[in-house]
Amino acid sequence: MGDYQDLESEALLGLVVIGRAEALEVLYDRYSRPVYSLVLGLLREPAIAEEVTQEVFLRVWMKASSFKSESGKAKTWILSIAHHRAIDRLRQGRNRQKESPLDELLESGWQMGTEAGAIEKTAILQEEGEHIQEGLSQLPEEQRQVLVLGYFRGFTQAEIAKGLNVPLGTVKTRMRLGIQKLRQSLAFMREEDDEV
Amino acid sequence: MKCESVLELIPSYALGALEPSERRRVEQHIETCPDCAEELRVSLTVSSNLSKAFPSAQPSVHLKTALMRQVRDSAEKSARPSFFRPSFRWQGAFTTGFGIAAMALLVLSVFLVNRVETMDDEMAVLRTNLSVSDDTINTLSVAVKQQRSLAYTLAIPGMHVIMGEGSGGKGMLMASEDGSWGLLVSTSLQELPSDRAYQVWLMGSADRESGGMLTVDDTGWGQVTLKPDRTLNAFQSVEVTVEPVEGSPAPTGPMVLQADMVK
Repeated sequence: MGDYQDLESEALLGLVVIGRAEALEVLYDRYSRPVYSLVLGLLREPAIAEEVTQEVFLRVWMKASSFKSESGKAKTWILSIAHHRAIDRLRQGRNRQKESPLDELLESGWQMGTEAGAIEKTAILQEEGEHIQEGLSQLPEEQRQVLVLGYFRGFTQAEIAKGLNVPLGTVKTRMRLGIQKLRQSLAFMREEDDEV
Repeated sequence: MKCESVLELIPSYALGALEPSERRRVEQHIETCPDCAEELRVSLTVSSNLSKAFPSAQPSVHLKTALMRQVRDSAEKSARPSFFRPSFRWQGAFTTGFGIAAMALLVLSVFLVNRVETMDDEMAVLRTNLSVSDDTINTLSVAVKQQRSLAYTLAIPGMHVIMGEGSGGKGMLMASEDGSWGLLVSTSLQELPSDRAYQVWLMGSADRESGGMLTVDDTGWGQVTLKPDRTLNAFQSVEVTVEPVEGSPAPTGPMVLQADMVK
């Protein structure tokens, strides 16, 4: 495995495609921490977060051939899988409760300021988290709202439109503009290769 | 699905705000649409930065053990002669647009990966059982490392391979699909006097960028990793010239190898 340590993550994915378990092990060593942190942050239950983290790396093992380098770096691809798996699990939990969670959230007096504050509390623990918080805080509130409800709360664009009582097209536009503005403010945070 | 509809969904995809069925439609579309794939890459880069807002946490050590046990079990279940093993795992990719040339390249890469790993074993036997000089072992080690690097690079899904040639010999440029990096390999350049060296140039329509020095051994083999400031796709060709050993700010010597970038 020693030789694999020096390889770029995209090359490791190539080796996973041809069934090299050692390559997956190196990828796990590089990315298990950011994957687990993301999943735990969304699901807030360590046992379930570990289960989902395992599912994420099994998916990398089975689906490495679907990685396309034009869609981003290996780390970005793995984090995208992790985010999607975690929010799918979040939604399953909500469906079992048979509630309309966004309505409830909004009726309970949920405020963007509170949510942003909560993110800020955790974000400042990270070296780059401060920049993320700053980037989010520079967004107009309506754009920040849909980004937070989507990325950090796992609501679909349709659920957000219904909950906020705005057309679906408006939510899509706010998400697009929000991403564009964040891209400018986080431009210095380039895609990373590896996190050892 | 048309590009217009996909582009509308990409920010929501990156934020995880689509239903799984919508998500799959986006993924299917980008398989065959480089423009939308680039849009997705940009949006995913932004959204993946948002993950840093969560506190850093480490999963338990048992998780890795359990995962790797499961992975090795599944690898054993699907074990078959290694040269043929990938054919079924690549079936999905094959049916979604990989051409015959790309499949041939992937099969070649598997062969090379298996071959270099066999060479590793052979090297270990040589080292322990035979009275071979350190110089010989070192030379063989370098050759194995070069082959390994080439094999692993070829194994990466979606690599572009561009053949090059010139007065000095032949070579091959492997470029990642997004153009962020590449590997230039020469196979038959002559060894140079100690005060001269091969220098790689990334040639644009109006400017150029040095891609680094290319060291060639006595068999004509040389390789250098290219990591340009901007994407390789922005350049028209990659050229190799003979320069003073310390390198030049601009090409001054004869051009011995050239690979034209695919447009």
